[in-house]
Amino acid sequence: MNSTNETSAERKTEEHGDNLLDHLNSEEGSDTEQTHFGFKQVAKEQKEAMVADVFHSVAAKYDVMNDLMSFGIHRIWKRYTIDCSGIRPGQKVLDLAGGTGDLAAKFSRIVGETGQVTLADINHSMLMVGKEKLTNMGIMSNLNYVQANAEALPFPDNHFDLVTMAFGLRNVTEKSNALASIFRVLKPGGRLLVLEFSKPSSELLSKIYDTYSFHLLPKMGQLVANDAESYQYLAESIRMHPDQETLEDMMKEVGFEQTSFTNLTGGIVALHRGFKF
Amino acid sequence: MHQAQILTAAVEFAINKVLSFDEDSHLLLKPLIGKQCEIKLHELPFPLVFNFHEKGVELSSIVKAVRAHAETTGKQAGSKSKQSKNQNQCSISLSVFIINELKDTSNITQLIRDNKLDFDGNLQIAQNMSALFDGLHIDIEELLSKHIGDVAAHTAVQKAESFGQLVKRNHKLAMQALSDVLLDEKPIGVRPIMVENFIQEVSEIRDAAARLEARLAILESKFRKKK
Repeated sequence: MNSTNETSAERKTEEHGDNLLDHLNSEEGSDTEQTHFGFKQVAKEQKEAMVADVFHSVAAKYDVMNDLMSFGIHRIWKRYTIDCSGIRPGQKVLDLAGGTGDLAAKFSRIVGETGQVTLADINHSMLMVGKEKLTNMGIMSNLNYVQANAEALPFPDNHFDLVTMAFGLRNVTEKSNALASIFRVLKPGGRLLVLEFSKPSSELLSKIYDTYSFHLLPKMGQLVANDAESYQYLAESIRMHPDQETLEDMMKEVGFEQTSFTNLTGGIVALHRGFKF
Repeated sequence: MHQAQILTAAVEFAINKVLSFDEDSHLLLKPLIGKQCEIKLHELPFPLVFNFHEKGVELSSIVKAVRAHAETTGKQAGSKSKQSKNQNQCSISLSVFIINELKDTSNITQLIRDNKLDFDGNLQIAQNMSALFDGLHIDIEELLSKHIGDVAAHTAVQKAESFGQLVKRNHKLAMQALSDVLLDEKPIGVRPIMVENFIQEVSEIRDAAARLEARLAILESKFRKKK
């Protein structure tokens, strides 16, 4: 734990600055074949397994921790995402990195019997927790569960009216590949919604948020889920995620049009939107 | 900032709670399953979208920018999407103040003519929705008895009922008194012009009395001098 903190501090000083895009571009370059895992640098092929370990570890307490860490506000962020989806009965939705299925449950009820919702997650434990939860809620008929890697989605081209990814993109090794894969499976006219932690717009809020996430969050993780390291990773991975403008540029690069983002709770979270035409 | 999301969450929770109190609510819900009803209240800056499912209702809203985008693409999409909207969706635009007037179905045409009510889509959905909320039968005594016991629940419900009847009776009496005043007392009541006239007449009498007093004083002084 101490070594992680030392590494975190060093990395933060060296790399977490205004040139995050440069940093991400260089890390995704083929010279080193390294990427970040929180503030640590790891081999690209290792990251997937390391992220998987984190989510295997937190899956059982995921919902409780979400409520606790965000003081329940994550429910409002997700409702806002649904209100931005413009989804109608009969449409097809992919909830990518859908975890325990909060969004999929709501979409399933909106699209109705004539629609289809696919809950996809790379992590089997999360998918199983989601499946159990949604089955207990009586949501079955229009819902599919698929264990899938966002970078190589196993769906046909032009298939979904809407793809959502809530708090998942920052864990993906090659974000551009994931965005391109999502672009491929979206129908023309379809939209992508990415709900993800981002960069607070105010300096004061940023400091309070840093203090909260680096000091309080791992302790809460230790206390409730008996796992401080996973929540330390959560805080670090949020800092390493591209800021609002960078992510919007990445979406444009893979072909999304009419892209925009909305800051929620002072930019702690941002909802990015993009269309495929 | 997130008032739409907080409001929809609260209303959704309240409606689903109320539905769960009636064991037969699923029968009323059945014709609505898979249907969507969008209600645009003039007093709210965002619409309320009701999506019905087996267990209750899922309430959401639509962000303004998304609504504008949907309207643009809807125009481009043409008649196919419009037809599907007519079957599974309906949209009602109204003011909260006319909700009571909707109970009298003969009012509806007039309300539409007066632009107080706008309707689009499958009318059956709106009728089923109205039947759902009107047809709920909630046994409050039974619900309370699970928490506070049979006797206390019975007493509480009886007290609440008698208080409700008292309020209703007093309200009826007040309304009756108001109606009496308006229908019987007002026509025979003193009008402002009569009050004005009365004031003027009183003023004239006061002036005449003053003149008489002055004349008497003059006569009195003349009488004293002669004496």
